[in-house]
Amino acid sequence: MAKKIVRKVLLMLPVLFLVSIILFTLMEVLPGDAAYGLGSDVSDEYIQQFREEHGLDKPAYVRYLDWVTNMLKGDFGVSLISGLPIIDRIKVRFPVTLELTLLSMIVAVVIAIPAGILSAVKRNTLPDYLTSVLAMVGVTIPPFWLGMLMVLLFSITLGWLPASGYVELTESVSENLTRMIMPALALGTQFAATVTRQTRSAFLETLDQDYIVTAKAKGLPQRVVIWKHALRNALIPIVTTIGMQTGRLFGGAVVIETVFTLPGIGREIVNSILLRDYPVVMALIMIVAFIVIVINTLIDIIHGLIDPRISQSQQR
Amino acid sequence: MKMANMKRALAILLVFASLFSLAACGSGTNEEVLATDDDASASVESPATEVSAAETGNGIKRGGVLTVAKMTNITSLDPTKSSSIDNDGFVLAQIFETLLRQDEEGNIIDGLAESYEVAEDGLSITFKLREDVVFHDGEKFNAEAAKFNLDWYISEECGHINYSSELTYVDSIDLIDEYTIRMNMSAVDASILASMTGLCGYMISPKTIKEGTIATNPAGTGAFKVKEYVEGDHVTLEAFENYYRMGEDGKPLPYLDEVVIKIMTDDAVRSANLESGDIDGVDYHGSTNSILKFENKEGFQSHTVPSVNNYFVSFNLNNEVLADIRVRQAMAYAVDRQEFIDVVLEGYGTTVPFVVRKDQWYYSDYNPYTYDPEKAKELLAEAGYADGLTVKMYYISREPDATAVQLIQAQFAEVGITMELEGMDRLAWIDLVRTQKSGELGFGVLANFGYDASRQFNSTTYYVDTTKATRLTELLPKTRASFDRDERLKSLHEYQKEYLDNCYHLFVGQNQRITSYKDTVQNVNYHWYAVAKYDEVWLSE
Repeated sequence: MAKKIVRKVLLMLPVLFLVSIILFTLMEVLPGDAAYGLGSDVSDEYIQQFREEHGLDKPAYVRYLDWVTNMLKGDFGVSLISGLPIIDRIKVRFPVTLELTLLSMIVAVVIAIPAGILSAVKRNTLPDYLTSVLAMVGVTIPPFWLGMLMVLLFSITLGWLPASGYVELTESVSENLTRMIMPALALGTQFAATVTRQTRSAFLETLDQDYIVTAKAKGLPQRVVIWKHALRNALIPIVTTIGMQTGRLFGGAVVIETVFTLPGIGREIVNSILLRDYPVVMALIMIVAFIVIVINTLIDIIHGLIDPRISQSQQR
Repeated sequence: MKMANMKRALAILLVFASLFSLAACGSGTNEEVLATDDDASASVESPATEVSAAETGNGIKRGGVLTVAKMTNITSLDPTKSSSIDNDGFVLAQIFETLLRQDEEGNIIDGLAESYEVAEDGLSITFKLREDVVFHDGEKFNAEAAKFNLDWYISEECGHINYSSELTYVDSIDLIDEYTIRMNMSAVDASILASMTGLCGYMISPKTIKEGTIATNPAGTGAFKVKEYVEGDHVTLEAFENYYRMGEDGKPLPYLDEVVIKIMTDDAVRSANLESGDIDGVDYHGSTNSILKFENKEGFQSHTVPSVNNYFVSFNLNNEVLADIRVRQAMAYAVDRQEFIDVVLEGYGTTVPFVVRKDQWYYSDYNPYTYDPEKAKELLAEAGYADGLTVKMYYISREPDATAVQLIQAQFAEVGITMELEGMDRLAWIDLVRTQKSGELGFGVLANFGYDASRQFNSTTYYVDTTKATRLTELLPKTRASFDRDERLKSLHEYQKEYLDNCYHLFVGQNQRITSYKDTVQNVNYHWYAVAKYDEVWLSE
């Protein structure tokens, strides 16, 4: 197992390298210059001065190599627009996005797995229809629109929850959760709906297996059949879906953070792309990419734990 | 029976889901969620209410926190790295103060300098400074501090973002006595006085300049000092306990304890937060929808900000077709500007010939182009395009630009011009139209926040290839070569005539920026450069 983990971790490096190359190339081909992000009244002379000061007049490969060298030293650099260190921005913004995605994931998993199991076990009954329809609605609603609806209902009409802002968890747990509940639900709904549908179909497939029929035939209670025999096998596609959806959660955070004005990484990425602040974009997306890769690596490892056959086949 | 019930339940659920989806499609906010931050983005005029200090009367309440939303990101809290006074100025103006100020009519009045005197030859200006001012970090404001600031601004080391456009003629600064300095100029530059009321006139604590901490720990002399700054999210300002100006109650300003400025780039989000009470005001409304929402809403007040956006069509003079002045003029005659105001700005705007507001001292109604489609057709025929021509317009994908270009497309079609449209993001558009001076037609916005006439006119050259419009670069320095307003007026109007006669841009309309606050926010006034002043604001609840 240890060998496998080391191999998986080593495989992360070329992926990160490729991501950085693709990202840098994409930023490079985008028309527009960070100098114009400073405002609409910048003189041509200053634009030239700005480009020279920040090395924007150097060839792309030189800038990329400079960036890689600095990253390897742990230096994220400074923002082209504000001139402030990017690491300070990451320290403030990363915990917000991490909390948002984790809360969304928790909300989703806690609702989705039991709902999916219920739907499969009570196939073609009212609970199944209800769950399926709700899951379908959940998949189709855009998270930002759900967020706006929530603000309209809970903040403007009922006045129960604040429409925006962030309070650190360490400052006040209740204030933090009051502000995070709507963003987490808005972001987590689509995720929950996808996992519910996946859980239902995985369980339906498992429940039709011969060994489940055998378990039922030998008189085992349904509870034991579902939780002990069916769950473990059905978990593999569910865990895979959760892993794959994590990347989408980070993508969704971009919009949700704008709707609820949360000071997270997603909102910052959008702003930085629009301003062509490429050191900030590179740093933030590399962090997101790193996390998504780590989560997918963990999912691979968990697969092996759930079903030892996977781990054995990989060793062969 | 059981199955029938289930089917009924399922049908109800499906109806519910369909209604939900239809409502989603009909939501007007969808497209606005990822709206970009941009200091020159859409805003419109409304019959708004001005709140004056006199209306507050007595009974001023001290204390409280004012929370407001800002439409655009803050570039920097360092005034030397900030290019746009109406954008970052919203925050900077609460922290820093300038040597001079401008009144509502654009007259130069006292600031941190209680008086100024221009030498007869116009080559030096003497500033007499206030004696009761200290910086937020406790440093004293005096002639030495003012000289240190100005010396720093014109030094290469500083790299002031506005040096090349505003400080090029400042030669040196002399220390006369403890509270008097003299600015020596290498040439007469009347716009320098206006510059001392803007980003080049801000006085920063010399200590923070020496320590290189302006952006992280800015110390000015304003009514508020920085308590917390989270880049891209919010800045919290707190009352400066040693501020020198007194309030109506005889105690030092400001009345508020704190001001929290939150960055909310999306118009729908700003409106929702104002409506829910999470914020007390918004700096600008980005759409007519939100203006209309708060315009006459109980519990809210709206103000017209002294600033406008000028919508224009730029022409690439290097393009073979557009190099012909008759084609440009034909296009100018083909545009019905009033229809633009009525349709695109929903009536909340005015038609003006140039980038000047009607209330500014250098306004001229000289305008060779009125809506005349027949004249447009004649000019096109003269230019050899009697059978029509095809051109391409590049625009920034946002509102009202997207609606505006479609209207212009329809108006051009009436005179036989087929116009293709291509939308792009703001920086890509600037790169194409301003930097490369390429493409064909460009639709954009030039803000007028009432700075200085010459500087405002200078902005009209950004999207023109001045190697093809050499007379403009000759005329521009003349607009600031005299302190005499009549002389300046003459050269400014000459510049406007040259610009319009050659039809370098087609100005289609001007709108107004609107802000809204809760009714509990009292005494909001505005700097001449369009940003709200909170030093005399107080909360009734």
